[in-house]
This record gives sequence, structure tokens and C-alpha cells, in this order.
Amino acid sequence: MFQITIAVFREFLEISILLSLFGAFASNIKNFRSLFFSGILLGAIGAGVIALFTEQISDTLDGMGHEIFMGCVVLFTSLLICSTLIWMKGYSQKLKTRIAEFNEGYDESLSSKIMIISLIATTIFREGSEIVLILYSISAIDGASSILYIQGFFLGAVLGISFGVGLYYGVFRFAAKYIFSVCSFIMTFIAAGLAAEAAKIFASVGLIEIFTDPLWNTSFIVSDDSTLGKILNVMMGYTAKPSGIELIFYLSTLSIIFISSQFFSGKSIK
Amino acid sequence: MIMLRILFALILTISYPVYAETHVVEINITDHKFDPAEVKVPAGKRIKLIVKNNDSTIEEFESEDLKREKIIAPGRSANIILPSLKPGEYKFEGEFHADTAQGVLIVE
Repeated sequence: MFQITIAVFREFLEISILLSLFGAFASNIKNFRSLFFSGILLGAIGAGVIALFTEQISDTLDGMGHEIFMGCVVLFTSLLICSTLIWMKGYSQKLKTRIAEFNEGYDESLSSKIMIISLIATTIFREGSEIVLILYSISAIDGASSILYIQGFFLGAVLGISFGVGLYYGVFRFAAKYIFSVCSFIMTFIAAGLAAEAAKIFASVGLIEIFTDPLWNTSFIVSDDSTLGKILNVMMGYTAKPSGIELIFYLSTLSIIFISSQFFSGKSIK
Repeated sequence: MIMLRILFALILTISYPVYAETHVVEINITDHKFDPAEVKVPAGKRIKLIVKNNDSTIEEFESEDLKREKIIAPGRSANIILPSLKPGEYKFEGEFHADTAQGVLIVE
């Protein structure tokens, strides 16, 4: 029962860290609270739908369906964060150089709203489908022991969510002036970490077979199983035993974001 | 988007191994123990583990060596596909009953 608490805690921890980060990132947008909850709702519905089809998905592609699907979702989220960061950078540049002549054909704030909703929805969807799987397993249990599991689930959920809430109100709300750049900085590493995780998922089912050996093992410093390990994993993609392909995906993502940002800050937009 | 095309091409190229031969092994979880607890498989072939949970409690098949973890509800099976592995021993465990649910995959 206690293991359920830990498993659930780790999932909710990841969700709440990311959501508090995205919330701080977007806190300047008007009505961001409604965007926030729309994103959660959308993600939750998506996760619920996946739960209904979980057996079919798993059985497709010779039992790899679930892993391949998750790998694609993770990769998609990474690309989503990349585009958001690059777009936001371009947007703030435009604003700086052309405030007087600002005259775009589309609704800028709508784009940023869609991005924030997507970021939140994909996060909830991704972690939510794991949580739903846990719930599904719990529901398959008959009898009194299921009460214990449910209690364990709620305990883990409350702990995980509290961490994120504490993070948001305790940390991210300070230095409001710098919050955007700090969040962008962290999100760059989150995107890289997600890309590496996608590589890890694809490698674990044999979809990628090159550079799959671990390069080093830092479990003695921070282990993947520890809470600190999980936090570092969420915020910067830390993993104790990365493989070559994970490193390649990680560094490529960092490069893409960094180079695109340079591209925007160097030139003036015509 | 060119990134999407590159991604698609990449997935097509590297998914060739998917169609290679697969070695299938059935593992049962009974009384929080793996049966068999020692699984021998050949190196160089993709491996499919069909892990069936015969207990009335949830189990989580987890292996750090294989970088896989999967929750298995009571009465259900999980298919765990592994890429072709190098010879060696790869430990796995049932995380929820780690004191009794221990196993090793021996690749030779």
C-alpha cells in the first residue's frame, strides 16, 4: 500500500512542479487561471479517454503500443515547449522593436493562450494516463484491501500536489520581474529532458538500437529512485545512467532552443 | 514542418528492428514470486516477456537494468518488449513485494 503512495506521489510531483512552473511563466497573461484550469480539464479528459482504450493501445504494435504512444507524447511535449520558448522570445523581441507599429494580422494573445493550455494539457495527459493506469489497477482489486490502496493513492496525490503549490507560492512568486526569464531558462532544460526521455522510451522497446549503452552512472550521487532524483529529472532531465542517444537528444534540444533564441535576439524584425 | 518529416523518416529507419525475430517468454507472478525466477534468453534477439499477475494484489514489474517498469493489475498480463540485449545478467523485481519478488534475466 505504501508503494502506491510513493508511485502516485512521484507522478503528482512531476505534474505539480511542471504546472507551477508553467503557471508562473504565464502569470502575466490575463485570465491565466481559467486557461490553467481549461488545460487541466482538457488533459484529464484526454487521460480518461486513453484509459478506456488502454488495452487496445497496449496490444497494438506487438505490445509496444503504450510505450510508443507515450514516447510520441513526450517528444511532442518537448517540441511544444521548444516552440513556445522560441515563439515567446520572438514575440518579446517584436514588442521591443516595434511597439509603435505593432500590427499583426492575428490575435497574438490567442496564440499564447493556446500554447499555455497545450503545455498544461499535454503534461496532465502524459502523467494523467500513468495515474489512470494506477487507478485502473486499484479498481481491479476486490475487497477491503482496495480501501487501503485508495487511501494510499490520496495520500500520494495530496503530498505531490502540496509540493507544487508550495513551490508556486513559496518560490516562483518572488522576483516577479525575472520570473519570465527564470522560467524560460528552466523550461529549456525541461524540454531537453523530455526529448531525452522520449529517446529512452524508444530505446527501451528496441525502436532505437544505436548508442543505447549507459555512458556513466551517478547513482551514488543522486539516485533515480530518490525524491531529489525525481525533482532533478523533472526540472532538468537528470538521469543517473544516461545513454548516448539520450545525451544526443538532450544536447540537440538545447542547441535548437539556444540557436533559435540567438537568431531572434541578433536580428531586428522587419 | 520539416522537423516532422525528419522525425517520421527517422522513426521509419530505426523501426526496422521491430520486424526482426522475437523470443517470447512467459513469467508468472504467484504468491509474490516470479516463476521462473531465472529466465534464460538468447542474445541478439528481441525479447517479449509476458508477465502474468496471478495474485490478488497489484504488482509493478520493475528493472533498473532493463530500464522498464510496468504496473500489472491482479489477473492481468503485461507484454514487455525488450531490444536485443548483450550477454549478461539483468535483474528485475516486483516493486510492491520486493522482498520475495526477485528475478534475473540471463542473456547468453
